[in-house]
Amino acid sequence: MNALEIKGLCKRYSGFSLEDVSFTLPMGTITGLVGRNGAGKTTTLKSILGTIHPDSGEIQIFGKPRSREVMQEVGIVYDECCFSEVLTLRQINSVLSSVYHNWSSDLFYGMCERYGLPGNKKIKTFSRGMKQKLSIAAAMAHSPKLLLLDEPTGGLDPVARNEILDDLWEFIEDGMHTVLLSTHITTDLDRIADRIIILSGGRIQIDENKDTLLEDYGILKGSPEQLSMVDKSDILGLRKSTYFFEALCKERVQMAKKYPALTCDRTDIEQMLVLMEGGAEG
Amino acid sequence: MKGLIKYDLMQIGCGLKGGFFAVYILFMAVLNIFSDTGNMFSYIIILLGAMMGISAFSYEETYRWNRYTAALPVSTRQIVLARYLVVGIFILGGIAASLLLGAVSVIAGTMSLTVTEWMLEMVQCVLICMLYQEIMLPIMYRFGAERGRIVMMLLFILLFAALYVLSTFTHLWQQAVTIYSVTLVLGAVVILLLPVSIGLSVRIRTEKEF
Repeated sequence: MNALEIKGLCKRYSGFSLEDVSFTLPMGTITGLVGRNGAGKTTTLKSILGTIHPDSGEIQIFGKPRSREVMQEVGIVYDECCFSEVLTLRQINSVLSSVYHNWSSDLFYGMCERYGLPGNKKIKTFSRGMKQKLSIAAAMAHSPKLLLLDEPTGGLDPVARNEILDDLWEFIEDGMHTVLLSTHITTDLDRIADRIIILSGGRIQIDENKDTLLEDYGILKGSPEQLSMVDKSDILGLRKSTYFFEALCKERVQMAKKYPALTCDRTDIEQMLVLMEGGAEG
Repeated sequence: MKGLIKYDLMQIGCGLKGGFFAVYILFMAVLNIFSDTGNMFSYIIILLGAMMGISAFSYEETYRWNRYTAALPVSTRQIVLARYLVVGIFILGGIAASLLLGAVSVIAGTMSLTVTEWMLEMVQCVLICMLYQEIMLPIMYRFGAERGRIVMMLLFILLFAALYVLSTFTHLWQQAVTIYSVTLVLGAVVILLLPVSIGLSVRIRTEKEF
């Protein structure tokens, strides 16, 4: 069974629209949702969570439409901590234990202790990173089967980020849990994601297994004069300067054979994103 | 729903300057021992209690708790009902404090009202607070805390303007209407308006996006 299925999701605002977004998340995977600001990542997440009303499309969580029962199995982490800063961890524990049937105070306090969060201090005394850690502990303490995270590692130092990525990795290990991680920090995805979805201008541009993506996609590099010899249909994204061009392409090995005069290197998620947003000017 | 009520109560409780309220009640109690304050201050406490619920809107906008609750396994109806119950709990708290102050006056022998008059005034005060909240809560859901407060001020102005106009015609209905009948009508309005107010708030919150 898929943890999440989205079909033909559309949401229109003035100046931006999410168009025909469709994807599925199999159980036991970590999927990275990547895109620049305004690409539609948060709109997609909000649609899944039901905090906005999509114009059209179908969203199913564990094969069912969104409902109170289904949301018991979903954990949320937003880009900012949503808890009142006058409260303490113990009060948050008390509130959320009344909301989630599966809430485990032991798990929550255990995670808070590991993250170094003091139980008796008000949240307003926490740093931004500590608040994010609290949000993550609160999202995981009811052992959700689906965890949705919107830029969760934004305010964290590299050590804390790694700690959280390790927790996410541990979380999906049993094959029964699923993570959808929206982020700008593509190195996080290089490390833990199984699959990458790249959104641009409100549409899905790439939806691939991460290993396939890193193996199969490449960057053609050459002088600006050499760009004219590349078929436009081979270019998925392009960046030009006075001295060189870089073009994102698929089927890296075949491209290297097709254009022997050009260099065809492997790529990573960040480069892909930069090139896709550069636009296919060639 | 229990969790949401707890959240609002703890948040407002922690945000309040508890010491300030304790000193206020103590000061009023002392004042009631030595003079007849006409119970005005005890009614202010009921009003303050009612206002506490409104501050929950401010908090949830500041910390974006509203988008968090929108994704929790609770229905919109539960979210709204929790807020109404929180307001109700604060009004009850105000009543308790008010009764305490009144009792001090009675014991000290400084109260000029009879117990019946005192209770009637208290009921009227509670009903007005409830009516005010029944109007305010949908407005807060619609406009948010910031703009909602402006609408609240406008409502006050309209209310006082209406009362002024009514007072100019008192001679026409003064004899026909007793304070008891006014209280009864007010009570009926409060009861009938409650489900309408809740329904409206649920509808407004359902249509909102976070």
